[in-house]
Amino acid sequence: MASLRKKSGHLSPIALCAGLGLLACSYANALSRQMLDPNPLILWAGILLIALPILYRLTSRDASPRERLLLVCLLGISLYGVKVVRDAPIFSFSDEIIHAFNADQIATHHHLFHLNPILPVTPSYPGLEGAASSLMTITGLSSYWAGTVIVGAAKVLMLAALFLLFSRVSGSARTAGLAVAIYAGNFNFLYWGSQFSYESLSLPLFVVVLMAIAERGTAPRSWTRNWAVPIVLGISAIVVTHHLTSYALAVFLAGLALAYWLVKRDWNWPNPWPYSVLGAVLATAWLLLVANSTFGYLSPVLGGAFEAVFNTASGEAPPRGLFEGKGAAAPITPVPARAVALLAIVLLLAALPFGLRHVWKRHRRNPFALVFGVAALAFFSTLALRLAPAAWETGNRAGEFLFIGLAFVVAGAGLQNWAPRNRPRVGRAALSGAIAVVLVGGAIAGWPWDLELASPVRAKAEGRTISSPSLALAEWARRNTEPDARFGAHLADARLLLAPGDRIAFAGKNPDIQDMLLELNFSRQNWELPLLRENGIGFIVTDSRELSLDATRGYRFSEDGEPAFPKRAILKFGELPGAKRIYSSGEISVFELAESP
Amino acid sequence: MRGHGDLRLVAWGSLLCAAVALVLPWPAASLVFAAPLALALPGYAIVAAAFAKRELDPPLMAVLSVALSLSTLALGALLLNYAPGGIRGFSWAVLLLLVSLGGCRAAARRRDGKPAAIHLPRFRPQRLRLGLSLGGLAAAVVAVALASATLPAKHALGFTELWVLPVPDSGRSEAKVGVKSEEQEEIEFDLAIRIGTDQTVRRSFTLKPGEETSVAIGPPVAPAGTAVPVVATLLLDQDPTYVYRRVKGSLTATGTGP
Repeated sequence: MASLRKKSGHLSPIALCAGLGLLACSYANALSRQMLDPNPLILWAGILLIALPILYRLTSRDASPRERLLLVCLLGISLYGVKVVRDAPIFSFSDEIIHAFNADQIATHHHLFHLNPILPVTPSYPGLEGAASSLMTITGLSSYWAGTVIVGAAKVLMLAALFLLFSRVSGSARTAGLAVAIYAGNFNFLYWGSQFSYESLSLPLFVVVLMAIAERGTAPRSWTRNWAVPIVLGISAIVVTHHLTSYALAVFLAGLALAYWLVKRDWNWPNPWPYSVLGAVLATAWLLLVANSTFGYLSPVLGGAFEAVFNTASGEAPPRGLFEGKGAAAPITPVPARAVALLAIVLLLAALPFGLRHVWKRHRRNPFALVFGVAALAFFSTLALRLAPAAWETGNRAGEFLFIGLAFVVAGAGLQNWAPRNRPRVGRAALSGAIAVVLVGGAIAGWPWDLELASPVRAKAEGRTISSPSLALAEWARRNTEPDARFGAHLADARLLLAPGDRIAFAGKNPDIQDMLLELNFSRQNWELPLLRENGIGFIVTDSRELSLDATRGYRFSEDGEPAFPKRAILKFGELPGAKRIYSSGEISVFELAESP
Repeated sequence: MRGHGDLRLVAWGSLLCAAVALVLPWPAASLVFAAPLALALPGYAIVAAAFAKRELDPPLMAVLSVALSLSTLALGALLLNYAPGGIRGFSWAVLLLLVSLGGCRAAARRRDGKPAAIHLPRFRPQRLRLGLSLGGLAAAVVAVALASATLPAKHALGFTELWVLPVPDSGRSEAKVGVKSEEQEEIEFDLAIRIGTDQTVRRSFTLKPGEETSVAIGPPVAPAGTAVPVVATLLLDQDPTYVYRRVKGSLTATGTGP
């Protein structure tokens, strides 16, 4: 018992701080959902209350490896809680609504691969939704709660696996704990990486595969076959869960195999090249046999990124402004917040040379450390992609993989041993503060400022619940239309029609519903009616709010004075032969089209 | 599995969790049993089988157990997709149970006859530490409860929905005109429904926020097969000159109208 107490260390008061920090975050969100315009400092104070005690303890010399592992798990689950208390109990991130629809389809129809009209590639990677379907069908939970449990488990798993990976590579639990804490400062960790989306499961499995390969490399050779089981299962699960992660894994393992060869001049055990080949073969086979729509999905994104980089570098296109969100409704991030985000980058950049020197001095015979060093350098090159408008997303997504290497390198910079005037506590406090800046700065840089706190989609009025226009439409469609009804709508309305509306809804440019909704008159070429017919769309949803074009903000209640589309763009649907406006909530109308539009 | 306490615990635990999770009608209670069945036990059994003759550190064992359980879920859905009956609660429970039992059996057979003893930690923390930890947990629970609560938002613009839809299986001869208030306060409405050129239905009613009402109409008085237009207009009692909402539909006459 005494040893257990010793191992638990300061965990209890730190857990209390984490709980109180989460409560502060929830309070800030509650004020925001009441549209009371709360001070965002409440949220950041809550996050710091969660993180700072954990960070300070992680910097200490006397915490045991097990305590450090528990601390990083606590950090992971608490920061995941910050996302959960922002949204409960409804998904509000644009991608997670799409995946919730897929999960609902699996639970309803008992099979995979059902159509997703907005992101057709997603049903071809059913790992996450399949996993969620287990809890949904066994327990009767909604996709929201099943998804929240699965992603929460994956999130804690990722930080625990990272800790074991970094411990194995660095040989130091202290460095490993700090590296995990630094990793929590990657741009996508707090919100994007916590959503119910396929990468939220595949990235933790990616880390587990790396950890397993690191463990395999240090175990006796006779253990090779034992380690093959978790590694092959992990790679297979990644391949069926997320396209980009499976490609990143194949590339990372290829780099690792090359690093092994550079260090040991040997392709035999423990060089992991067979797993790199396996990852590449499985990913390619899945792409060709099951998910060939991935070509059409990824090629415009990656092609656009290359083109944007070229255009920006050659001066043909202006660079993208930092901290600029998409859409007119995206407000500018305040200067102090920008300063924190930039300071986080500066701190990481300042620590990089010291970390690289440490890696070279201490770990240059370790292939993992070499790959992490390259990844750390590559991370800063992806920052340049943020300046090219169409390359921003590519750089952002690559960042969370490369940040694994950066976190390891920066943790080795040696600040944890800094003791100014023989006072190590000052050094520890400085390091804790610096990691906290990285954590907060990463969250600011990775998520729109105005979306850090929740907006209301439901509200209490005279003791009863009322819904926002988009949500009310979705609830109406679910109650009053046939399950196979097909809608065309703006991005935000269409997503909620998918989930919780549980109806097929098309939006965006493919098929081009968006232009059809925005134009003031039907075109002379008359492409609209054949398009509607081709996709079997029986209902057109018009929304006068410009916000409905915004898939991250368009779900909330309206406020006075919000910009609106010209009425003509809506009224034109009433002129279609046989079309009738069967639903109206003021801003949103539904036109039922004649059976042969 | 005789003598292998951990494997027996996993095997019987899986069976118990599968049975109870399927039987319990309350999702939250069912989750208490489904979570270990889905997120820990299959992975533990696989790791135990894969490393039957090795000893892994408990943290590594725990991480691999959760990771392989999640992998089993991701890949298991593919298996069930092609199994008779497809992806259902029962088939999931059976699959996870089979993986757990199969892994445990393989582990028991491969182990060197040395039963692994279970070393459950004797966790007796000090009252203060227990209190602090429970306080943290309570704060987290309150945080999630607060996040799940619906709160007033006075600045949110309320609205009212009006719709007209044919009654299913009526051959479009009957329809329902629905009104749902998403307003911030109780409002009096006047609803006028014009069916064709001659028939008008009027209703006055009050709706509280979140309340809904509907009016059934049809079949229309017209020769059978005729399409009769329906126009529903919603007025605010406080300002009857302003058309608050208007929707249109049509009814198909059956020739047997009132």
